[in-house]
Amino acid sequence: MEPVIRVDNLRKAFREGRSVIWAVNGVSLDIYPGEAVGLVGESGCGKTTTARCVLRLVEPTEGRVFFQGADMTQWSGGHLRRQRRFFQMVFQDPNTSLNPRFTVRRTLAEPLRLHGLASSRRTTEEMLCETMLRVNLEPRLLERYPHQLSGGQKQRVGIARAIITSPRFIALDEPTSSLDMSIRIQILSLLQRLQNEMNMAYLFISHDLSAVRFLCSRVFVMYLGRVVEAGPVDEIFERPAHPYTRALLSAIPIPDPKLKRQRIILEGEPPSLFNLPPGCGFYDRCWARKPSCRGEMPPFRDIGDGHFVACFAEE
Amino acid sequence: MTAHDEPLLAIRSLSVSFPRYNQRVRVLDRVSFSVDRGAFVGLVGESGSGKTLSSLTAMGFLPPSARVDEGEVWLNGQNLLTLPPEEMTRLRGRKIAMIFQSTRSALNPMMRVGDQVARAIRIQKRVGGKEAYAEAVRLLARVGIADAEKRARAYPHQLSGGMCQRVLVAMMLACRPALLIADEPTTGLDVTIQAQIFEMFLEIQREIGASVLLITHDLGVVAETCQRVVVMYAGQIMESAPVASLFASPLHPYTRMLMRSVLRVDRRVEPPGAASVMKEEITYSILGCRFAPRCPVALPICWEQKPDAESAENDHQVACYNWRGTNGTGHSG
Amino acid sequence: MVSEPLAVPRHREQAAREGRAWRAWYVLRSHPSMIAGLVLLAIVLFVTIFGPSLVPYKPLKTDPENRLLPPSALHLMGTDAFGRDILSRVVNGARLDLFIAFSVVAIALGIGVFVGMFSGYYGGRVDDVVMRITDVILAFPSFILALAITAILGNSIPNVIIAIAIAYIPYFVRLTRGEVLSAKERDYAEAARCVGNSNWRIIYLHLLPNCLTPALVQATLCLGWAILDASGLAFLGLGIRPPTPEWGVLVSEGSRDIIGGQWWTSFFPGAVIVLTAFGFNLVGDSLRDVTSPTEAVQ
Repeated sequence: MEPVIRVDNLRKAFREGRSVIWAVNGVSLDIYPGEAVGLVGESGCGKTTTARCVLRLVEPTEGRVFFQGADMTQWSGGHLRRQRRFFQMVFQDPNTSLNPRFTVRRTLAEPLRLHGLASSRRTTEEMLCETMLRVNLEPRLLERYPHQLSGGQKQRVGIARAIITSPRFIALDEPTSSLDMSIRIQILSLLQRLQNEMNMAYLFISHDLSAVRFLCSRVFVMYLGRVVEAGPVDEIFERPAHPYTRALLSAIPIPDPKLKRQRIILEGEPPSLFNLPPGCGFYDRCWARKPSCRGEMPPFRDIGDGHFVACFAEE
Repeated sequence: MTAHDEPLLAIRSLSVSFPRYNQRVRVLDRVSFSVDRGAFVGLVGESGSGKTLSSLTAMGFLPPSARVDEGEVWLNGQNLLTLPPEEMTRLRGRKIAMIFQSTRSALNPMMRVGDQVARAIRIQKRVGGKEAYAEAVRLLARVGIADAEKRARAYPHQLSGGMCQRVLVAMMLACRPALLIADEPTTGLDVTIQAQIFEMFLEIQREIGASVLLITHDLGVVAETCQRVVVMYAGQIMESAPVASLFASPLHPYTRMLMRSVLRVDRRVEPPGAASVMKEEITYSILGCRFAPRCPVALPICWEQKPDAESAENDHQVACYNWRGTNGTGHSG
Repeated sequence: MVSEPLAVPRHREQAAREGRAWRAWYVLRSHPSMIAGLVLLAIVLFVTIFGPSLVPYKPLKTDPENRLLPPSALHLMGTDAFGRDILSRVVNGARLDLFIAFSVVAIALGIGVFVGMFSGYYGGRVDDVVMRITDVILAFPSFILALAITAILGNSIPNVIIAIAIAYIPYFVRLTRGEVLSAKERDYAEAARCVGNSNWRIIYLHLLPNCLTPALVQATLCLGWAILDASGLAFLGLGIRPPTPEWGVLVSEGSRDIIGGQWWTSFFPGAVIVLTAFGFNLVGDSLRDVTSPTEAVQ
């Protein structure tokens, strides 16, 4: 089976004055139809930039992105625009991702119009209502403006906008981070249901690993612009191999006072992207480091069960 | 003098309202809870629950348009709401301190951080400038800032969010308050930094023996750090209990709903059933329990009259007429 | 895919709409200066539309026997050196002055906003060039610039309009550019791109409505300034010339009579200029206060 999205050695540089930082520094991943892949890491790891490069909202500096086998990075502007109906994005903050001057109707009808998906007024109306119902919103809300909706409702509109063109792939950039707890799980369940109903592939970007555990089947862990570990969700979460992943997982508080855990508390902070040291970026904070780790980047190796890790340390 | 088992902070039936066009909206409605000496209490709620406003009232930081309709805030035998402003200013820092969410805006952007901590020290103790600065550097090191001497000369915008938060804790350390209120102190910080901050926080708390009121929406943090939990919704107190009791058997329908909605890293959580899909809007105009519109077991009386806090076992209090209407073990029918 | 037609509810959100009107009224009530300005402008507007048909005298009709009569029941504003009723001339002049003011603002707003959006969105060289041009224009006081351009182009109403509009364009460019610089970073702009909009659609359909507010406030103020500038130019003898009853022309003609003690020939047209410009200023300033982000309008 061919992956919907294949990312091949993606690199993205940003210029800050005289210096150059590599926000994404050699990321490769693939996403198959109908699966939800998580991309996790903390601030500055490059996951958001990666997602935007995958959708070509930001132009990659190097590397290739393949959509259903075709090299997206080579597409012309017009062709890219026309193809956008097949890959969409759900944004993090529902308060800023909807145009405050557009009614919900206008926001949702626009993709239909742009891609010629509704031949008549009646068809448009049907598709609008159908999509609203799919995301558990009453069609009467079509006349509302964003400021007249609650946070959860706004995010559902954002999701409706993404699915209305029946895309094959959706990138979700922290879609629940701005929402309250009780709404979060509702939105995630909705996303899961939609994925099953419409057979879409997801790239789920998040710093919230518990949300990833809920929604995703595979996960990629990023640190300082690189993927340090990848594999099936259960495998990674229960048997993390990379020291960073282990620290990350142990740092997340678990809502169960009876559990007494041994927490790994990292020292220091991630190095600045301006002054990346050679070798493994995690060296300064790693307790399992060896001199060889400073010398060169550890290669991405297979440790079985679809589990990959970029680390020299033995198990 | 107060007896030793009197709570350090006791908020009694506090109601605060704000104007909205030609009406007043009661954003806090007869809120009552307390923090014992040396205790670590978590104040949990989602947005609009009034948790931040409660603490701002205790600190005396209400905006001018707010009005306290009723209630008292007792700290060490004094009603803070009746204190004249100069007295309140003296208490702040010394007896009661607050750490805010947006750390960078809590620090003066034009002053070096070392000077800011030193200034806090000079206000609290009668020491000279040099001595205060040396103490400031020592405190910065104590809160885990590496290279404290060099960092003390930095401005807030040159430091990361995590470090700014540590600076605030250092300032708080200088004051040694009896009660520390921390309002979502790790919002926006990475989870690995968050773990560091809480670790440091707990150490400091043990060292100076302060009581802590931690305001948060994160139940994981509550489970790992708090001894007691108070649950708020829409400006009302729903439930309060020791942490083990709250997680083992949440009694209030709202708390139960929250517990069902929490995601975990250690296992995959079940999706909520269709029954728990509900409206989000908070209505502040209900006379009774404000959770009634969303409550699966609401009775007619719930809309009319606000339930008083009722004691279940183990110092576990719940404000609900119908908490037994489910079988009380944490799952509704 | 054939499906049953869904029942589509057609009722609009009445409650939401009503709330908005009521809130607007509440805001208006708390800004007395806005009310004062609107009252002034309402009077001016009324006079402009209905005035010429209500005044008893023709503005150009001379009547040498009744020259330089002070204000009286017959001539509420007196008569000028040619015996023409000043009130009639002022009322007729209103149309011309307002026409000039609205034309100036329409041109300056139209061009300024278009250029500002484009320049701010694309940035780079284009933006640099546009900024330097606006710098040059803004270096001159607007009146002086309008004066110079009118002198070059010649005296006529269209030329006056063009000259003043050119002086105002940079304000709108700058204001709109400032707004679009921050608006283009917003998520909804990125979402518009993600959905498949071309750059032009993003700039002019998505971003523009969100960037117009400061420009519209400025437009209101410019309406007042345009009247002052046009009258000022006419007073100096540039642009509009007698016997066209433009307010500035009236003031200019009347200024000769002051020495003889006949104050009313220039006072009334001058007062009308001031009140009209003041009205626009009051409304514009209140609009700025009301729409500024610090005002808690919710």
